[in-house]
Amino acid sequence: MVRTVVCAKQVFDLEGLKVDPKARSLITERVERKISDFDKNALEEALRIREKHGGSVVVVTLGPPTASVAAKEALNMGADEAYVIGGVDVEQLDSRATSDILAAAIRRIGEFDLVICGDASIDMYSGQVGPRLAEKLGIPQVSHAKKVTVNGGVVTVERDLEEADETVEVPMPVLLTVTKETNEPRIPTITMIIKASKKTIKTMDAGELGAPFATSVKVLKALAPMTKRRTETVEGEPAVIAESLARQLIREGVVDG
Amino acid sequence: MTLELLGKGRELADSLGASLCALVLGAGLEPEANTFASHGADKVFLVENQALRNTLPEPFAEAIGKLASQHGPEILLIGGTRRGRDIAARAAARLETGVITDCVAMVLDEEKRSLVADRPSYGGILVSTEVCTTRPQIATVPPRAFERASPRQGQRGEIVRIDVELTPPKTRVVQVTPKEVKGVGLEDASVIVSAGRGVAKKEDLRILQELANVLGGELGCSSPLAEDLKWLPLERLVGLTGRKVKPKLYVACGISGQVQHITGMRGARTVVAINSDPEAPIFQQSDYCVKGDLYEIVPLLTEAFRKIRQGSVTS
Repeated sequence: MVRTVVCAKQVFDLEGLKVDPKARSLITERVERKISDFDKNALEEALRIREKHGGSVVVVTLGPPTASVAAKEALNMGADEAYVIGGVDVEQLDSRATSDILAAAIRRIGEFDLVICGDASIDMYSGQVGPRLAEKLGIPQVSHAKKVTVNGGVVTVERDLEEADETVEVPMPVLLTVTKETNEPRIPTITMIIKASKKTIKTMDAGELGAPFATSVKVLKALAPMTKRRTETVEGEPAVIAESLARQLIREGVVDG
Repeated sequence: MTLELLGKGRELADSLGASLCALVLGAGLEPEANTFASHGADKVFLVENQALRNTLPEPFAEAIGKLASQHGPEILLIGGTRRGRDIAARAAARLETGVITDCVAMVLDEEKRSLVADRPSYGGILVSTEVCTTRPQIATVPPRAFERASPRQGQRGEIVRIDVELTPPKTRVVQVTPKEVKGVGLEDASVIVSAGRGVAKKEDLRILQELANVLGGELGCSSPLAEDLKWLPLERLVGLTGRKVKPKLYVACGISGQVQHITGMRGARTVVAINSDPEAPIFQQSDYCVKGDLYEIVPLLTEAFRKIRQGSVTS
């Protein structure tokens, strides 16, 4: 029996984003929201562990409960319970506040053996929430897990570091972070979705968790970088275009003559 | 990596009129400590402890947390490797402060004595400018973002050995297998010829490959070709979900130019776009725009380079 908590962040689907070139800002209208990619791998890993060893999978996410695509998606995939922590403006939270709130929420939910997070969210990609949460919960962390094997009270993890692959053993409770290489998340079938529709999304209020939270990192601005390019149209017959372009590129020194 | 931190750190410390300390954690690291002492660190704190042997995040964060509480640094720079990022975040949680990760540029607000850092967000679609309002301000820096510190003639920092009591880690490292270095290395290519949906068949990539060969470059592609059609492996994918490249020359062939692709090629010095759709957004992000058929232009371009080179050899 392994009791697992999965932390999932709701994000914009980056593939659908466009940039307003004048304002240099993101156009997010009509862009779908979803569970951040690696968090979905985290949920998939938790579900596989439950299928093998029994136990439970509880998903925690932050955001306005009424709009929680993430919680719904998690239940559809097969999570036993999904909690949405509201009462806070998620746009204003940094990794510090997020992990403080999550730590308090996980304590409130109860005993656990494993916490699994994505390595990083696809939007901010800061990768802090996992390690911070582990520190707050007072448990070890193993990041970049490629393969996870539970054996009794011990988890064996094969992990991917830049220069080496590392295998570690760690007693539960432990926090793991996973990437897209860890597994292929399941796509809910209609039967799964119907089954999930009977489950209700549970809510918590960040202010009532009895733990203060504060932010440290402030975003002053976030702008699309605009590289100034010459946008010079090369005109003429194809053979002329090719030759004048080749000569120009050699003159510029970007290719060897 | 640490030398890059020392290079940037020295600059920040000088602007603030502060001292620069290097923190060396591990076992048997005296040679490293000596190097840092001769490369601009005013002080090198050397902490040797068996708990630090395997570079696990818990004892490292504990050591950094304890030393930072004791010495009160204003800024802590940590190498943005996978291990480094884990350690930085865990240490920050202990110190109840923030981390700005992946800083690619850093300046100081000297009045507030605060670090103002740029980092990519939304997969590089945006550059986010951030500050840390609590102390210490922790920043992780990706490899190769800043110049390495050079040795300082006649100046030598003091090496201070410190004992820190650390909790033995619960994690046991069973095996470490160094990785084999892979071939492609799109990030290091000086020329990239990239293919998009304008290429009709997989076999036609040969035309682009020939141009790449003539230029001593590598073949790249946009996401449909690697992710949907799977004509090329993921390590050749340029863009949001692939590589961020910085060649001297980037030739985009039949690529429409969605922001997700532009994000990967923004670092290129010169961009050539070849596309038969004169309205393709790629042209807004290119230096030289060829509004024509890549099947016609690319082979002619390959030929033109060959000819010019032959000419320059004979003349």
